[in-house]
Amino acid sequence: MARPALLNLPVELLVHIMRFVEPEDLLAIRASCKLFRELCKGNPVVYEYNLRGLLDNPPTAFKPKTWNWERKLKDLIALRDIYGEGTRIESCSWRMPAVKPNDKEQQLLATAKTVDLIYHASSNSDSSANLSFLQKAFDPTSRYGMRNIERYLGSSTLFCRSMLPTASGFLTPAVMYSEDERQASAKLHCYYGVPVTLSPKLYRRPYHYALSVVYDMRNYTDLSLWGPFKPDGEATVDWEKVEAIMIILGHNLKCFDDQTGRRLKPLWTTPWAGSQPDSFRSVCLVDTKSPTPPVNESDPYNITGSWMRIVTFLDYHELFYYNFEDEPEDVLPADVPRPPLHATEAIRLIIMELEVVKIIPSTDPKQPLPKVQFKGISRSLHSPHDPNANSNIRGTVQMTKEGEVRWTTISVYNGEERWKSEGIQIGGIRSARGVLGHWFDRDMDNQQGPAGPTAFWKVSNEVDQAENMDHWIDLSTPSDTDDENAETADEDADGTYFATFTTLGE
Amino acid sequence: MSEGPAQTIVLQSNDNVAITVERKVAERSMLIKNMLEDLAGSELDSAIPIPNVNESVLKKVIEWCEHHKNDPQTAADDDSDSRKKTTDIEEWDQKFMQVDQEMLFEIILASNYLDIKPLLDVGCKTVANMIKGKSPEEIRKTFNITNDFTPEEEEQIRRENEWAEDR
Repeated sequence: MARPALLNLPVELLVHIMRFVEPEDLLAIRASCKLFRELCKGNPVVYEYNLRGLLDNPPTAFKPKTWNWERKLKDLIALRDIYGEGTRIESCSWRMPAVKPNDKEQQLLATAKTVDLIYHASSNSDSSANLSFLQKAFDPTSRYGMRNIERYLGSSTLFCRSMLPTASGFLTPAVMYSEDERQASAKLHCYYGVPVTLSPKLYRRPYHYALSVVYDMRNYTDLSLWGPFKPDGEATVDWEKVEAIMIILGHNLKCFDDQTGRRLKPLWTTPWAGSQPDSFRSVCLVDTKSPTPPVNESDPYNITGSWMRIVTFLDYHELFYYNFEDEPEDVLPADVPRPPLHATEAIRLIIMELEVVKIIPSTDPKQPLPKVQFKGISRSLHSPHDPNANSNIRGTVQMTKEGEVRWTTISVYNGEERWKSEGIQIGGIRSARGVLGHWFDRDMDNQQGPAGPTAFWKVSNEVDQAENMDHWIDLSTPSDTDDENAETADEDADGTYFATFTTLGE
Repeated sequence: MSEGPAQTIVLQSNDNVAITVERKVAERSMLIKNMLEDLAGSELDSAIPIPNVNESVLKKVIEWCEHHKNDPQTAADDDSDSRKKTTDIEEWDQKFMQVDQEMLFEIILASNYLDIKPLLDVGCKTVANMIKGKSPEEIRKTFNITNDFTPEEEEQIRRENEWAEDR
């Protein structure tokens, strides 16, 4: 018998050894000699074994037939290179790193591969290896975390504009990054899901720049369907608009918490969590032992149930003044953004109780998911027992051409359609993160608004007839005075405008 | 379960050396454990032959089993997804594995034959640690492997390990 040596071990033991090395090492092993090369070729399972605990095995429904663990291994190595988590670039001199430093492709590669990683993550955010990898890579206290946040989440137009001249060297966003890079950075920020704060030594607060995007009525056009879309008529997502919505609503939710002492159920606090398909977990609203499963199994979007919604808006005078009071000689060219806006918004928290009305099968073989119509009611969280607070709501969910989940809602007050919204669900169907979008006047001929940002996310597959508020916010501390404090932001608002708007929520 | 004084059994290596071990220690090997269970009731009056393992390796394996005789039994199937990616080896095992390569591979083969999963994992992790962070050339040097690629194959491998490839 031959003397024991590595190459004389039985194949199953070599495969077993290979599950204990780092993914990068597998590339070195298979490049060392024919035996290992053939072994890897003949046993693709070595890649799968090696990735256990490092990558999730995606849920069957989201695992394509062409799934290839070897490719996923290389993708993970690329991401480890990009985010510095591998920290092995130097030692891998025999292998080309995923990207060269300062490579313009870096942002696009990072966003594409990260979104792919999230899309194929386990639907359980708490135990997902994919999300855990990203959370480590973007942990501000880790070696590369802050660099990654600034580099990959902070390159959108909004952040470039908010950069102090001393930091930007007076460069315009277009000079700093290409349009594709800025979109990719904004998209990654939306998936990250927590509005980031960058160094105040280099950046001004992004909130005011976000306001200048969302409250710029030039961004509401028929071609962009008045939603956070590009003006191509196909609802292609404009991630820079979605990012601005997220920043604004994140800011308002935080202010709402701080001012009222109320605690909203934690939301948008855990980076990356809930931005993968199927990640929604229903809570019990009525006293049941276990969460109710989806009510309508043939609805892939799992619409039926209770949703939480937030809407913010600007004093109409302020909105009008900001958009339409320019002197003729001051009118901005179409490609020049409005200046940062310093204003106080008002906020509405709304509960929507929705149910599926009709499922219309898809006729597009490339996009098998149906279009689903729903209806329901929406009522304000501020004054739930006011009989005049309710409005009806109806809408549709459908896939866009590029494969995003598009939500359209229409609020109906006394039979009259009043407000409409267009948004997209971050993370695909049945994601926990929910929908970010625009609300606007149903009569879209009215180019003068009003309009603003909105978000909604599902809380439960159930509807709570008893209207017990504990599920929505923690009411342990507040009193009636707190409730009034929450309204102070509205005090100087236009009476009529609010009277009509608040019928949507209150 | 039998209580009282520790039972012993005798193992016989393939070079015909009889080694007496505590039954509990020998039962770290699932092979021996299952064998003893099959023989339950009947008296064990002869040594159990271990045909694939020589004396020095068997003694080494028994040393490991001795040290780990009170470890909790691992679950039958630890290949589940919950298995954490870890290459940590506890300190005693690290010292235990400071042997020449020949002995290392003998231990791996013996633990595989005797079905001692935790020892097999420690052995494989030790080899994995010898591979980690090395270039193909360094791996060849470490394990005395001949580079048997043609220049054309080398070129192709170089391309395979690059990222610029079209996908």
